Amino acid sequence: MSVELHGIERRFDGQTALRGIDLEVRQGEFLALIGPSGAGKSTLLRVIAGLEPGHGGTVRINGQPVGHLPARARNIGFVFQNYALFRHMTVAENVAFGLRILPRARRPSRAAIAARVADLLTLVQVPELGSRTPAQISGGQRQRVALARALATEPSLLLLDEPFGALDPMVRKDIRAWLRDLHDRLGLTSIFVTHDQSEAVELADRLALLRDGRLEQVGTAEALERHPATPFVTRFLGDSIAVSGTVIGGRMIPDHPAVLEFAANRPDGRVMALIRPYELKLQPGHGARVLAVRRAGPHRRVTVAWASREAEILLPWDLPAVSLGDDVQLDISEARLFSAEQDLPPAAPGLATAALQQSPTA
Amino acid sequence: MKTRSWFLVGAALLVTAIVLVLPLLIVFVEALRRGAGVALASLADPDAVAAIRLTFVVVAIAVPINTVFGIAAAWCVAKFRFRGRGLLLVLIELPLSVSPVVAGLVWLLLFGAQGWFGPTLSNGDIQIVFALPGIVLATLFVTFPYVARTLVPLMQEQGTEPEEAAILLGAGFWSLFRRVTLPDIGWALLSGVLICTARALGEFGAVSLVSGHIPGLTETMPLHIETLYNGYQTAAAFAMAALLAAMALLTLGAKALLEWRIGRTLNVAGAFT
Repeated sequence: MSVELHGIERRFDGQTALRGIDLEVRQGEFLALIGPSGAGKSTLLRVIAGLEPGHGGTVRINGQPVGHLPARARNIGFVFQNYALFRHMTVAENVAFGLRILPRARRPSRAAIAARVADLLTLVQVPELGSRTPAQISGGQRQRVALARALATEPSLLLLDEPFGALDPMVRKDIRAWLRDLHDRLGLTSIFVTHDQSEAVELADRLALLRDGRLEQVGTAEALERHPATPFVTRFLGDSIAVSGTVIGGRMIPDHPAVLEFAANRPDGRVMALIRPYELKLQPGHGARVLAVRRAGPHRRVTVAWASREAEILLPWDLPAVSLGDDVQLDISEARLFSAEQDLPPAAPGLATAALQQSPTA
Repeated sequence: MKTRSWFLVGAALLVTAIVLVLPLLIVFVEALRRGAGVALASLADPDAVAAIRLTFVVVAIAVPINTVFGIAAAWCVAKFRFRGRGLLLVLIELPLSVSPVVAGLVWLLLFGAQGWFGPTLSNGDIQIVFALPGIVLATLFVTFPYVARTLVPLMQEQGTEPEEAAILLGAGFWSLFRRVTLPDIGWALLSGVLICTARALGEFGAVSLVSGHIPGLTETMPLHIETLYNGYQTAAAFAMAALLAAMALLTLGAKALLEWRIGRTLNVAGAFT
């Protein structure tokens, strides 16, 4: 089942939550909507589900516009962040809900519903929980039950709002892999919202990065990492070190001599380079100094100071060791270059800060 | 510190005993002073029986109506954001802040013989004031907030996600309401209905204005108690008062029992989360 979004807009009390989103989700795809809090991810998911009737733009499912279809008629599986299980029903009753309320003509018999519920609970690997209530099961189990409930009416589109947000890290890892496997086995098309970029990179076929109600970039994790459309994309996907400079005649000349110049296929002008801590290399030279060397898993974590700034970089163990007090220069030839204007702060500065705080340690 | 807290607890208990328990005790003692037989005989008086019956009829009409509208109002206010929502919230509380006498006066002004609709009504031979409809209207006004107010905080806390989940699973309005919303508020609803009933049983001010105090016809229990007392029939007045108090206490007791049970199930649920 494919989903096409065209010019999606949503305003709440004069505040714009979504501004002209165009996005296509292919049949069978597992797409992650990522972005800082308040970027509009959940709102976009709710627009697709039909829970935000006041939006602008067109939603097409399998090529058909669904604007006129209320949420109840779209047959979309939806898993809420806090699962939204029905408290007063048992797990089995929760899962059976979508089938029990079908019009009599299409409703399966009691026995058929019971069999389907048992199948679904087996599918989500909690066959023994049918007679419990939601309050009596763990977070991970609730997540699975919510998924079974969403799958009961055999939707081919599955929407998940922060599906792993409320789980502890151990359970989260398990459920991630299992969910991806389930998606592939059932041939679903899935869209999930997360603010955790590592989760998205690990799980999704493609990522759609939202920022301040706009779509910043869509693509595979690889594409976003290699060819980021804006500095924000690189910053959101992981730690980065920024170096400013000027491109003159095909060479990037950093402002500070501690950073080596390198070839850059760009028109002349001011630029900003962003580089990952593990892409930066050190060479003997002058201008920068090694302040600390620590072991960090398969890497050495090296603190380097130049000009009046410090940065932590990660060097593989097999490179020649650097030691405390060494004079070095920085090789940033693997950096992504952006024109200096691209790095202007976004319209709402608060959001940018949130984005930077959330970019996790890689 | 310890002595001071004991002092505070003691003072609170003392005040409670004097202000709340003592009057109730006196009502029962007074009622039974000349023996249970006399008290029962006074309750069997035709006017007393009529008052008791009228009270039950009024409660039986007013409480269900207010339950339905209370649920509707709470649902609107708690689950939707719309223009005028704040106003609706204030309106729900209005009967709590306006004196019941004012409410009674309003009904008189609207439907009384000299009221706005008075001539039209008397032409059509429809009696609202000084009859059952007026008493029901007055009771409705005074007891409107109780169901809604019990439900609003609970419904707000529960949020709209379970409802949205049900809609996405294909539920229409009625199956949503019957299978998701109503069961979720079940116990709180019952508790709201009980407090509404207790209040409807005892309403005096508003009803007093619109009833006309016709013994045997338009007197509810509280009104009849006043009539008896003013007529120096102290024992009968206290017997009726004791009956009314006992009914209110029973309702409150049922409510307390309910809340205790809810609290216990919540604790049990909490132990698993």
